[in-house]
Amino acid sequence: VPQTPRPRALLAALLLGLFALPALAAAPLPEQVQAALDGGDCAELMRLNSEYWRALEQEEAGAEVRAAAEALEHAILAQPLCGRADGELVQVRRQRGVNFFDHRNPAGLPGGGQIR
Amino acid sequence: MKTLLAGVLVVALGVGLGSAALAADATDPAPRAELYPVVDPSIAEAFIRELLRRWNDRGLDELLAEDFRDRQRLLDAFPHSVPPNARLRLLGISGVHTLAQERVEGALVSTVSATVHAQIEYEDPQQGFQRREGVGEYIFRIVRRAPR
Repeated sequence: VPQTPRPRALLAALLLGLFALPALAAAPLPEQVQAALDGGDCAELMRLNSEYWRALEQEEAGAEVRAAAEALEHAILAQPLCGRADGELVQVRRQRGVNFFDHRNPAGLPGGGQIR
Repeated sequence: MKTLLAGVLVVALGVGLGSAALAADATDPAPRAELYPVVDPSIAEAFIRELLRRWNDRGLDELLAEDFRDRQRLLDAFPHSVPPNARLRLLGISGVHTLAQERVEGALVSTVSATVHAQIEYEDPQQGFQRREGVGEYIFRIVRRAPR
């Protein structure tokens, strides 16, 4: 008579598999990357970040390189003063006086906003 | 976004909030908790200063978002609506708040609000020295990247 797996055994196997997944997914990062993450030095994080993203452009780069690059990028953005910042103005809501970004009269000139 | 805040950052401080965010990630088995620090007030101030400097140099183009309302009209207004010798002077910045944040490919995009108190000053040929103040809530985006 063919043996069918018992439900408990199936459940145990399923649970084991589930617990094993995170361990497999979280492969250890390269030593220098982990050291940089632990140290938190912005310049070092930036240096390694460039290095690993460049490496990622090569075809043979594997999941470990990608994980390291993403961890470095995350660490840089997690520091409020690390990285490079660009800005752009979206809107100005006038509260009082002149709105210097209102096209109708950006200098607040009397009499309609035209230079005499 | 095409702008640069000249010399605004690339600084290596920020152990506080940054470390907290990383620590949260390290212990959380769930998908990475996207905890990022709010925009530092020094970055917001640097942007405002640069914005006013560009206003004075009539070079606002690069610091106005594409979705800034009546963007082109504002740029076109300068030659006939702003005296050539007019200068904006920053009197104060307060209430810097990060309103929203979004993580995009390679960058963190933050929408920021700040109350800006500024004054325009110029010499009028007939009336002499003129100045006018203005206070407004400035809404701007700060995009912080990890250069690759």
